[in-house]
Amino acid sequence: MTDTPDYQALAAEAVAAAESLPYDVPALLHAAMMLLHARDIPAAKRFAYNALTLDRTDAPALRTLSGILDAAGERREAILIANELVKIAPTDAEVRLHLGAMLAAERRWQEALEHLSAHVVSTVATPLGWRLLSSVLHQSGHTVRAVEAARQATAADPNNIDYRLNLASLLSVRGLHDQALTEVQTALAQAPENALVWRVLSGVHTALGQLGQALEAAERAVELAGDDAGYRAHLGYVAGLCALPVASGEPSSWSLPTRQAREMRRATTLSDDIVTRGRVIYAIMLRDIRTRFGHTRLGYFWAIMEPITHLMTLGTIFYALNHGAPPVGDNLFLFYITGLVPFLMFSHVSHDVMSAAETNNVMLQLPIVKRTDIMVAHALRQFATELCVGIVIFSIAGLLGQRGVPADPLTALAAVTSIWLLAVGVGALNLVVVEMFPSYETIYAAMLRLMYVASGIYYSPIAMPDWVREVLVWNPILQGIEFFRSGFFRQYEPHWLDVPYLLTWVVATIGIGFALERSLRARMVVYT
Amino acid sequence: MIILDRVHKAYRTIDGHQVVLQDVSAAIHPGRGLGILGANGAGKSTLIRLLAGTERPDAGRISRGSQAVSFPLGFGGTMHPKLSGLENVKFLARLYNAEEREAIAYVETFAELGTYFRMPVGTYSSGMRARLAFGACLAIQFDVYLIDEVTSVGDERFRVKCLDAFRQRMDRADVIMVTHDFETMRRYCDTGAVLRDGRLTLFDDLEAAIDDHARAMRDNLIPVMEFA
Repeated sequence: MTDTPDYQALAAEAVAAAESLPYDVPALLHAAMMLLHARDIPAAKRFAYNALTLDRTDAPALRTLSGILDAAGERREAILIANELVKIAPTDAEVRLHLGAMLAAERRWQEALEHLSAHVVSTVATPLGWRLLSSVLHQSGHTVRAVEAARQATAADPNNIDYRLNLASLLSVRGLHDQALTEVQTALAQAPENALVWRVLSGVHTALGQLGQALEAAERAVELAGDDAGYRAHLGYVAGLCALPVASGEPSSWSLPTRQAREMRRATTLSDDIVTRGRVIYAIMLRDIRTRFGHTRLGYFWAIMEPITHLMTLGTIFYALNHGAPPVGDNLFLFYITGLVPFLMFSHVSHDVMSAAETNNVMLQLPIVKRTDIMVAHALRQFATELCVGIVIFSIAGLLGQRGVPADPLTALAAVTSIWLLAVGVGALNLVVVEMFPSYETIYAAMLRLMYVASGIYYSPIAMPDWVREVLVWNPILQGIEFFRSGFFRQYEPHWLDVPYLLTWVVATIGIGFALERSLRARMVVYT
Repeated sequence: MIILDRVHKAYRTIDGHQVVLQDVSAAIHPGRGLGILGANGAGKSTLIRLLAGTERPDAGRISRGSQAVSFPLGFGGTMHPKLSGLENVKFLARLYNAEEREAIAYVETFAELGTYFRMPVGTYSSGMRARLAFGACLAIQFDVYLIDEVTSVGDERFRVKCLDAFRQRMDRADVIMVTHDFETMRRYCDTGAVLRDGRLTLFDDLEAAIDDHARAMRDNLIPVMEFA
């Protein structure tokens, strides 16, 4: 710059004016600004502080002081002052840019993001604001939005080489090398002698695998930049990729990229852990629904229809064979259903939890996925399915004029939940056993068939001789079914129903099952 | 920092016990790339899986601090064959709390799968599978990337692209890699580790590690008979 005004003289003049008007804020601030231009920062700071003591909430005074502090290298102080100003004048978009830029320089991405976003949506949005926002977005991992911001900056100031190169490198980071190439070529047309443009061009060509052009561009960049170590290192890197000896002396002069000090992630806490587990379980459930039920919504419909048709067929057959009065309620079909629905839930859930052991489960190759996550996801997914099945079945019963709603819904729900938990516990135990003895899976299938007969689905223990009943009531599944029936039918309170006994089973199987799974986990790892 | 504290790992094989790590304690510092060297069958891949957490040590502890360590990259075993590439990426993004939309957009352009991106992974060639896995891993921001044999990625041009993408990440993330290609290793790693006979020796300088490994390999060579 050739005709710079004589700031020394202007500053002296402004200082004289301010000293004659010691209580005039604008005069003091003018003096501070002139002193800043004259590079007398301590004096500038003094005048700005004086102005601020006159009025703590004066926006121009805060803005001037923050600017001077930033120029003085006291960025943290400058940020504090600018933050104060934002509180006083939240709509001042210029301050947002100033503050956002300082925060970005301090690598405080989250805060910078907030202020720069506020700046770019204002009416005084600047291309510089978009450019800064783009970098901040990139640094905080939002590359798609970073590209958008970079595009805005370039659109607002199409002749700015830096903005265009920023856009090009972000496109390249996103893998959109073709678009990046177009941008760099535009920049090249605008500034054919700019070393940085050639350097970025070389990078894009490298990413595209066009090593010849990459090498050419890298050489041109080094030529234009003169003796720049970074450019030379890049040339060496590209030459290395081309498997060419490097012309510039040392045999392999490319160097590893320099690392910036990065912020360490904060230590994880228990609540982070819970959030992670929840996220993982949810992701597994969604994925399971996709893999099990196919890509159509009809798939899930069939998943529900299959047990429903099973139930309807069995119930109808037994109903047709047996014309006696039901042990409870006034319809035999409904009696069967109240036994079958909980039993099938037990059988499906216990089997599904066990299936988390499948040795070819590719998900276990992902260290973030714990086997217990798969077990819980299977259990929850199956619970939801069975609940739908139950609701549909009992609605059908309701439509046919039978009782469709439990007499005591809370007891029925408690019963369903205990059967589900029992199934989860048994499934966990099964998983451990099947890991050790793979043939156990067929044994368990046989046991389930035995349980099908021994769980009082098609009869009530009341119809059995005393000694048979004495044995049957030890079966926790029968206890669960009777518990459900006691909630479903009015005034059905069998004397053999022992809820604490059932709950002991629940706690014991879940406790032992999951404890064994945990202690044996190291041995159960799958090799690929 | 990844800390191995008295880690023991062995396999039961047909002919007895194969010890991979015997009471190994070591600290892998952040900010540096680590290349792992060792003879075939020394257990380099097992070590990578231990570092990832896919496998657990028989005894001892591995602590990863608060660093996000990637799943081991190199074999396409993490993708579900019935789901499309897109759905697999979605699943991974959900698991690791990455932004789904961004991850999908990134992989779609990076992996160059075209319409296959929306078809079941089971229909992919092994090269396509590897491209998908690399793209998915790069789409998630890890602090440490574990790579087991980059050379498995199909053609030369894509390999260069992968390596370049990793270089762009290296200002924010580290790489721990196993490869037989020392030239590739030199591009990413400045420190090295040699795995031999259940012991892990860390070297501050990769070249020292390569020297040590090469010397041991030569010592093991059976002298070749000479024909006059």
